[in-house]
Amino acid sequence: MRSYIKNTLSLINLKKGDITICIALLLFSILGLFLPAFHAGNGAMVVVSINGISYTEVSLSKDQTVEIKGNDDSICNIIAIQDGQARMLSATCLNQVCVRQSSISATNETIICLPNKVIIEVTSSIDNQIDSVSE
Amino acid sequence: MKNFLISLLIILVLCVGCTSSTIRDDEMYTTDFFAMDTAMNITAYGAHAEDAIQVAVNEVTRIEGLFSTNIATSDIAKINQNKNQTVSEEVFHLLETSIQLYEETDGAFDIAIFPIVKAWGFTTETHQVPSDEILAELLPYTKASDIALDKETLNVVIDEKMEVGLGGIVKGYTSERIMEIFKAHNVTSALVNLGGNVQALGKKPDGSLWNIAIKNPLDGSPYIGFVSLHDKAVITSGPYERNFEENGEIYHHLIDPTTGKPAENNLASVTIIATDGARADALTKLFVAGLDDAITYCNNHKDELDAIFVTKDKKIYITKNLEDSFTLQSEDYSLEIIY
Repeated sequence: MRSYIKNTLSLINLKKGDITICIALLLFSILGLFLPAFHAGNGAMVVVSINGISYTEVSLSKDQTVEIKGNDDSICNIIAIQDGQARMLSATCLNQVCVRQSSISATNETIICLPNKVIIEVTSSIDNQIDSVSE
Repeated sequence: MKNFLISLLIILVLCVGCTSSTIRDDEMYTTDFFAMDTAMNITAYGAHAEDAIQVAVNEVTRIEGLFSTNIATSDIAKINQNKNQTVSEEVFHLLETSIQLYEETDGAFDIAIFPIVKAWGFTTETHQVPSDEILAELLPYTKASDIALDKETLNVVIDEKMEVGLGGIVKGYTSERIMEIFKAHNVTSALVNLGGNVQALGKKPDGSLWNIAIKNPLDGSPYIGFVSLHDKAVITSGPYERNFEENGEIYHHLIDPTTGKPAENNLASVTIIATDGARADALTKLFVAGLDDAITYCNNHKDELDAIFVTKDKKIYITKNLEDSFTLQSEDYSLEIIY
């Protein structure tokens, strides 16, 4: 078998270096197929509530900013979602404690803006099974 | 030969390179935004999702511009202002559908109840309890069947004292329109939630059904259960959505058109599940008719819709078709299958 391979290889004039390149190229191609799978999938959500009332739910897997508007329809808080993490980008509150808090990504972690009564909490879509709520 | 093999390998690598930059069927695109006085979410999957979602968001804005009572240039605002108004075919058609539903539901769904909803302050969030005198004055002019439609000229005529509001049907109509946009853009999997009105397109990218939870209208767990489905709108109405308290009494927005006051019966919420989003939205107003009449209506239309009724005494009534697709999640409730 080995001699057969050796003969074939010499026929097509393939040298050791060529073989190395071929194997390297093949490996990279196969790796490329799997790359998209490393992106965050669905699952983790950030639930936003104002004054205890559910306001919105956004996915942690898509980079985005979410504007939170209070009763008077003006923006009171803005959340930033980036690389699977959520943080308070800005807030109208005086103490800015929420903005200084480090970003959250694990289930049940929260960032609270007490003056504006805004809570953001990471959940695994509350109930893993639920896709949306009719209310 | 060697060059041929290497060329082949390079082509192979390039092909894979192209594949890995192609959007996967299960790539999710989602957007949260505000419109029609509420929070909305549109989620879609696949290569065409991003474009389709943008078109959908624009469509929501367009529809709001046509139907909102708060936008002075909308067809509906013009009807209310001028009492005699020619409108677009689209608005005319939804008015026709609304009047039809008024007749079918014996007045439970009534787009002409708007002046009374305004009197209670639900349109401006400046809540107040209107006197019986005010209600008696307004009630005779709250029948949708009194709206005169001319199909030839698309002209709408209402009495001086009448006003219309399509808030009870327009979100369902909008979610339907979004489904059409998705189909036109070759999106096969999507889910929208327009202020609590849910409509699903197809199944999830992995082929499984969408699980849509029904909010618990009473105290306790967040949901009473969920329905597993595809290609359906799931729309719920209940007093918990909009209400205010005055002198120890709770007043909600689901007005009984016979009294001009919030409907009083044993129902806590009504959910309608149907492919027709507009009808599903409108028919949740069967809430004001009470459980028995609501069940009778649904029984007569069992081919077009399914329903979930939740009562104050913690019972859930579901239509037979839902038996296999409804999963009860709250221990506080008992389940009953109707017809």
